[in-house]
Amino acid sequence: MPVSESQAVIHTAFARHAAERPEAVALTGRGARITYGQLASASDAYAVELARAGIGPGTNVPLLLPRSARLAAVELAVLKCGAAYVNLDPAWTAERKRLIVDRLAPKAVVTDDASAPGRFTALRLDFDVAEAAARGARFTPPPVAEDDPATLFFTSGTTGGPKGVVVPHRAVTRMFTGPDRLPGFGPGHAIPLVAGLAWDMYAFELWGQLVTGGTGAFAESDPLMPNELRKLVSTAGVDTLWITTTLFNLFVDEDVDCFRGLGRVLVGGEKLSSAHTRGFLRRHPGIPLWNGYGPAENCMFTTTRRITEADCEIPEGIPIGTAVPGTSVLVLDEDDRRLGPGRIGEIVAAGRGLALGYLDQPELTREKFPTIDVDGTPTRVYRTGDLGLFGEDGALRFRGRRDRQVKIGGHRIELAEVEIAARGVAGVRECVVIPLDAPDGTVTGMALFYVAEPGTGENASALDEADLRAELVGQLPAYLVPGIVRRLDRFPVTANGKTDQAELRGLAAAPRRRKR
Amino acid sequence: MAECREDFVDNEYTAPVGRLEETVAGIVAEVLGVDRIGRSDSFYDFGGTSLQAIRICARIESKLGIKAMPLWLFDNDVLEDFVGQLAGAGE
Repeated sequence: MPVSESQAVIHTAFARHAAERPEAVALTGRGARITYGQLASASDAYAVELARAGIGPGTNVPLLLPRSARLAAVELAVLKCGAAYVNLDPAWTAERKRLIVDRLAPKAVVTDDASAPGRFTALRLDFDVAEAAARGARFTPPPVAEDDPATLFFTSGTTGGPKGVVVPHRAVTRMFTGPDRLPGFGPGHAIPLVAGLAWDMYAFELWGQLVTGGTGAFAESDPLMPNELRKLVSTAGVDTLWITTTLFNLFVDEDVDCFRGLGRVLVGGEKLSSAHTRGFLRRHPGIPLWNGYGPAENCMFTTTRRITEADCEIPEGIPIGTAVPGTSVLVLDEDDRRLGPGRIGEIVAAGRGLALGYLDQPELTREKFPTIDVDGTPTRVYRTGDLGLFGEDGALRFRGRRDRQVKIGGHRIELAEVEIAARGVAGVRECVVIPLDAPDGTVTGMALFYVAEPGTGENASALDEADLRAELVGQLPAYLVPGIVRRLDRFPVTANGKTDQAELRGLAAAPRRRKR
Repeated sequence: MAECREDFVDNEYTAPVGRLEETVAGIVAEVLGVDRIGRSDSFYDFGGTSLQAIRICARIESKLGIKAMPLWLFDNDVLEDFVGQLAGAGE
């Protein structure tokens, strides 16, 4: 079988469904109804234009387009050219877009805005999918291998600006194609397309359905709102939902019935809240709820777990589960030795989900993606920097970031350890501990932020700061008790829905009220 | 525990006008954790975040059945204007 025929290649897997079921709906919602046949034909028309602009194997193509069927078709067209697409989120600042485009030094930037790409050529593909499909263009793709780059995701680097994670076709397709593939994708299944365009979970939603013959559904609102979810379930056949932990918690708080009718819900991006998860399971015992964990460097998910109510009672948090298809997970000690159940070490991923590395950063790539000896076999791995351990049941448990180990006054402190203690105090719903830095970079203390359980009945008031502090003083050695303990109504979050650490540092430094 | 509006804004409190404005002011105050919101107060005055905007809109939709977009709170950050947009959308 020639390499381009591999079903692990995104556009080849898509093309098979387009040939078998051209009338099946590929994309729906927001007034669109695009069939597999139309999408295949439109992407050929866009590919002809891209090839004319010099796009071919080995090139990276930044796409600055709004979320749309056209964007999906142009992405397919880039892949058909043997190139990799890079979505630029329209919501980014002009500065971030410019920085990333400069790093890519592309032949062209696909955009409707001629001034956007700076010193690079703007390629306008401003005819829509229906028009593109009507052109009847035919494009013959060059051979593409499953290890060839398909897309790049830019993640925040702590130094030296954003890092471009180069992701091959096989990493995107691996969990959707084998006999043990993830449920909820394929003919008869539909998922809302709501993840940020430049995020790996965008690929999860879109390609998860388009390489299996399923349907992607555009939402009217961005972000997704509870009532919009209801509408997509009843009118677009949506049965599978991926949602960030932050938004999941909000939906459970505000409108827990909005999940009704779904066949499954996948939650992740951040540690789950046991209280919200329990709230969901009690209301929707028939809807499987999955926890998904993983960094972009091991594309989309590394582990998943179907959550049970018993999981919500584990004080250290809900397990993150077992490796997804095409992936294996190890827990290693400081000397790269495998650790057995019950022992904490670094979570390391191997297998078909691994990225090729960081764009133009060979040293960092060697450091984070080393080849190590695993049971006598040299194996390429990704070091997640996360700490975890396997339970006796084989499920992985998350224990925070490795770099969340700090030294204060000579004591080595695992910030996660303080969080686990605080979470065990009755009345604490969620909490996070951040280190406090002196101007010279040394860590001088810790701040604990928490959200209290709402008070009920006789205990009408929520757990106050002094009481929580007293509990911690009673449980922990003095050096583990944070200097600042502060209650919040909820945690500040970033645009991607993760807890905003910078904002928390600001709160720790600021006086009690954010008076303007 | 709601914080005091006057800790965030200096201008005089103007009471919301009409049932819709009153209800929305109540929802916004509840989500932002302040005791009351006046019709000329801005979402930004209280350090409103995008997540709070989502929460406000979800609550408006479930309580009033009016579809509200979180972005509206950033475009029309003053209560009176935001409610004006809501009223337009609800028609």
